[in-house]
Amino acid sequence: MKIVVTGDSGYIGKYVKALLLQRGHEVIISLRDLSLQKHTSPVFIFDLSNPRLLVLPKSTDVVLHLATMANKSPTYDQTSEVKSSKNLIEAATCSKAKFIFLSSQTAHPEAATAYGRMKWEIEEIALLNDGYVVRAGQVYGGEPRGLFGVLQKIVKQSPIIPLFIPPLKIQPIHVEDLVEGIVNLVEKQGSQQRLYELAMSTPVSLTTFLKNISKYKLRALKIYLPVPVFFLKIINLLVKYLSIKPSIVTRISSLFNLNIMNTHSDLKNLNLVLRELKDGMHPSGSNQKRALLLEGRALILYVAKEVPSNFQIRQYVRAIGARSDGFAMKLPRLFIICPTFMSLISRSNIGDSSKWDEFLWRLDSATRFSEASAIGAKRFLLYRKKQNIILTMFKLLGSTTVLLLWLTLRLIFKPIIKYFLNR
Amino acid sequence: MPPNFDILIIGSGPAGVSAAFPLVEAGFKVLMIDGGKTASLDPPVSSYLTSRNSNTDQLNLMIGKDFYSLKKKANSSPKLNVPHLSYVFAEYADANKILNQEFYGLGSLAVGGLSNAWGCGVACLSAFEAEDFPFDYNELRKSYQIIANRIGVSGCHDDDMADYFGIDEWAQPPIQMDTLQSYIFKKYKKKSSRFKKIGFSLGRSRLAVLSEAYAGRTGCTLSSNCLWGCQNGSTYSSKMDLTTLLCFPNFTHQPGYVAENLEKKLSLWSVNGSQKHGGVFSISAKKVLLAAGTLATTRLAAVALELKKPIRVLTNPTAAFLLWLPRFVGAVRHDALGLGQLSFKVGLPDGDSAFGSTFSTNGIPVSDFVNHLPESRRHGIDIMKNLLSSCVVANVFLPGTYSSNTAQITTNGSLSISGSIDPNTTQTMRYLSKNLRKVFNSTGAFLIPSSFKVGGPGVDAHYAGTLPMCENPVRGEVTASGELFSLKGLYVADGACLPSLSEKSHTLTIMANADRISRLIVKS
Repeated sequence: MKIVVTGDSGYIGKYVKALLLQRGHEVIISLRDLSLQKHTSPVFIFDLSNPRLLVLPKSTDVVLHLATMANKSPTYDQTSEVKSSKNLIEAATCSKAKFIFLSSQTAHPEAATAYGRMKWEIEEIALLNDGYVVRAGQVYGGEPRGLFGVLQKIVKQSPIIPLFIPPLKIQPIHVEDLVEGIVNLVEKQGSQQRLYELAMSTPVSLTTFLKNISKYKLRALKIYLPVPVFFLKIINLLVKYLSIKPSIVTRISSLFNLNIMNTHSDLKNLNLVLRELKDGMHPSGSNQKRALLLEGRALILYVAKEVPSNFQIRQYVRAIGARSDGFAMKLPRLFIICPTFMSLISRSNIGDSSKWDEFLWRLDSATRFSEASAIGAKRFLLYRKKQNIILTMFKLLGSTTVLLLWLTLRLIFKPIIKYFLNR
Repeated sequence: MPPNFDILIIGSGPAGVSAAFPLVEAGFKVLMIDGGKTASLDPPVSSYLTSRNSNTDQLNLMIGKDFYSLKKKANSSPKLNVPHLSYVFAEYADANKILNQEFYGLGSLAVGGLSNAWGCGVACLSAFEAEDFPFDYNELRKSYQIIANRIGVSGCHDDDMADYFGIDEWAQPPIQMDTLQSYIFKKYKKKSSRFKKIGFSLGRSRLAVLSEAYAGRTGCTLSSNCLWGCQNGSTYSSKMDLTTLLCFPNFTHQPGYVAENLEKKLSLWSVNGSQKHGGVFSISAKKVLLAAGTLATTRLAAVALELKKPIRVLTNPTAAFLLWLPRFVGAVRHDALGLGQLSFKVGLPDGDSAFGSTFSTNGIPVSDFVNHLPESRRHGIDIMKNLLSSCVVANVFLPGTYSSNTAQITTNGSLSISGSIDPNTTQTMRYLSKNLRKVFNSTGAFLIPSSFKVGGPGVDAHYAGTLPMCENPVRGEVTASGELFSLKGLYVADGACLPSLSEKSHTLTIMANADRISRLIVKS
C-alpha cells in the first residue's frame, strides 16, 4: 500500500515507518518544506503550523497522521494544528484514502492540558469524516522520548520516586506493541469500528510504572517518598498563572483524572497481545533473553546440583533458539530462584500436555548438557574407584526415599502447585 | 546408444556390496550409486570413559554442533541420538519420498548405508527357518560362508546358542565379556538344563566385529565406542567392502546420486534421479539391482510396477529392558564392548521364539536412561548414577509375523507407511516381560519393574518382505532369482525380497541372498 506518514521522525513515527517498510509498504514521509528534502524519494509537504490546502500524492491508500507540535514552545497556538489537521483529513477524503489519527488517552473536551483538548478536537473532525482514531495509553519502551523520556529522566536523576496519594493510574503500552496495532489497522480492510483504544487493559499506578523504569530499565535502587497530589495541582496552577514554559509538572498533570479505557476488545480486534511491563522496560524491549538464561541456569542447576558454567547456560539458550522461537517458558519464580522445587512439576500438575512436552524436552536437554562434560561424568557415572556396596546401597535407598518424599509432597500440594503453574 | 554399464546397483549398503562382488569378479561392468553422505566427525581416539573423564569438547561428541541429539525424541534407540551417526539417517525419508505414519521409517543415504550404525548381530537361518525361500537351502548356506569369511565374524563358542546362530565354523573366538555378563552366563550354565525346559537358551553373541586382526583390520580393544565410532575398524561396515571393490577396474562408484524412478527403454533400464549437488541424472544399464534399503527399494519397484494395493512391511517388534545385579552395586565402570555380549532365545506361547541380546550400560549416555524417569529428574539421576554400573541393558525381538504395518503408493508417487501394534503382539510382549523376569531372576539379574519398554513400530529398522521371493510369483513379487515379476532385468537384492522375517538378526541373510542372486545372474 501507498502510505503518507506525518511525524515519521517522532518517537512513534520512527517505529511505524520501519514496520511499514518491513511489511513491504510504500512510505511517503511528510516535510515542512521542500528545502528539508535530503533524498530524491517523493515527499509530501505538510506543516502543522502553517495551514493550507493540501493535495495528496496520486493513489495514496492511507494517511497516517502522527505529527504533533504540542509541548514544543510556550507561545504555540493549537488552533493552527487543528486547522492543518482538518485540511489533511479533507485531502484524504477527497482522494478516498483511509485516514488514521494517532490520539492520546488524554483527549477530552475538558482535558487538563491544551494538548488533550486539541487531540480531542482533531478526533472529532476525523470521526466525522469517516476517519479512524487510535487512542494510545502511556507509551513507553525503546528510546527515552516523549513523556516516557521525561519520566525516565526524573527517575534517573532523582534519588527518590514519588509515591502519589491518591495513586495516579495510567495504562501503559510498549511502543512496539502500539506500532504493531497501528500497522494492523492500516492493513485491516473495511473495519466498521472507528475508534480504537490501545493500552494495557488493567491500569497501573504511576509509581509502579516509575518503579519498573528504575528496576528493569535503569537497574537502580530508589527511595519512595509520598507526595500528595493536591500539592502538584497547586504548582500546576501557579505555572499556569505565571505562564512560564510548560514544566515537568504540567506534563505530569496531564495524567490527572484520566478516563480508564476499556481496551480489551480493541486489542483483540487488532490481534494485539501486549508484553508485560517489566519485559517491555528491559532495554532489549523484551526480557526474553534474560528469562531464558535464568531458565537454563535453573534447569541445569536442578539436574546437575551445581551452578552451571556460563558456557553451559549459553549453549542451552542457543539450543532453545535453534528449535523454537527461543522464548522462555514462564515458569513460576519459585522454580527459577530455587530449582529444587522442580521436582514438584509433573504432567498432571502442568495440566496442558503440550506444555508438559515442552518442559520435558527442555529438562531432557538440560540433562544432556549437564552430562556432556568432564564434571558431568562425575555427576552421572560411577567409575573412579570401587564403592562400598553397603554404602552405595544406602545411597540408593536414600535417593529413592527422597524421590518418594517429593512424590508425596506433590500429591499433597497438588491443587496449590497446579494453581501456580497455570497462573 | 549402448549403455556404459552392464549392471547398475542402487545402494552401497550390505546388500549392494554383497551383490557387487560376484558380478565384478565375473567381469561385468558394474556401476554403484548411493546418496553419498559421509561422516563429518572422526571416530574418537580414546575410549569412551577416558574421553568422558578428560575430553573438554564432549558437547560435540554427545550433543553435536547443531544440537542433533536434542532433536530426537526418547523411546527410540540410543543410536538415533548420536551426533556422529547423524549422517547415516539424514534425509533418507525425504529424498526417497517416504511418508511415515506412526512408523519409524529409517534408511540411509550414506556410503555403506545402514551398516554404519549397525548392531553387528549376525546369524544364519536354519533350513527350517528358510522353508519359505523358494530355492535349495544349500545355495544360501554357501553364500553365508562367502559373506562370513569376507566381513569377518566373531563369537565362536561351545554354548547353547551355537546351533541357533549356525555360524561358528567361520567365526573367530568371542570378544571378552564384562564381569556382570560373565556372572549371568556362569549362573545360567549352572542350571542350563532347567532353563532349556522352559525354552530359554543363552550364549555368546555372534557379531560382525573382529576379536582378532583380520584383513588389515584390528581386533576389538574394548573401548566402549561402538556407538560413537570404532577407531580400530573392528566393527564391519560396507564401506570397507567398497574399498575392496574399487580395486576392480570394471567397478565404478558414483556417490551422491539418489534414484527417483525407473524406466524401461527397449531392452534397457534407465534410472532417473537427482544429484546431491543439484541437477538430475539418467543412467541406463542392461540390468538394475535395487539395494537402496527395503523402504526405498519398495517405493522404486512399486512405482515401476504401478502397484496400487497395500504392501505388507515386516518388522521385528522390539522391546528393551534393564537388568539389575545387586551383588555388583558400587562396581566400577570399565570400558567394554558396546555391542551384544550375550544373546538369548526364548520360546513364545505359539511355538515361535524371540531373540535378544544383553549389553553393557557403558558407552550409552546416562541421559538416555534417566529420560525414562521423567519426573523428579534430579533424584532420578542420583539413583541411576549408583545403579547403572550394576545393570545390564537388554533388547528382544519378535519374529516378523508379529508386525502389522502396511505401505501404499500415494497418487504423487510417495510411499506411505503406517505402523500399528497388533493386540496379540502387545499380549506376547507382556508374556515375554513376565517370562524374562522369571528367567533372569534365577541368574541373579533382576528385571527392573517398569523398565520393560516396547518400541514403536519400525524402530528396530529390520524392514523386510515387501516384495517377497516366490516360487510362482505374481505382480508385486519376485522370482527365486530376485527378478521382479513382469519387469525383466529389474532385480531386488535387499531386505525387500525376503519372504519371511525371523526374529534373528537378518543382515547376514540379506547379504547372503544378494550374493546368491548375483551368482545366478552371472550363471545366466
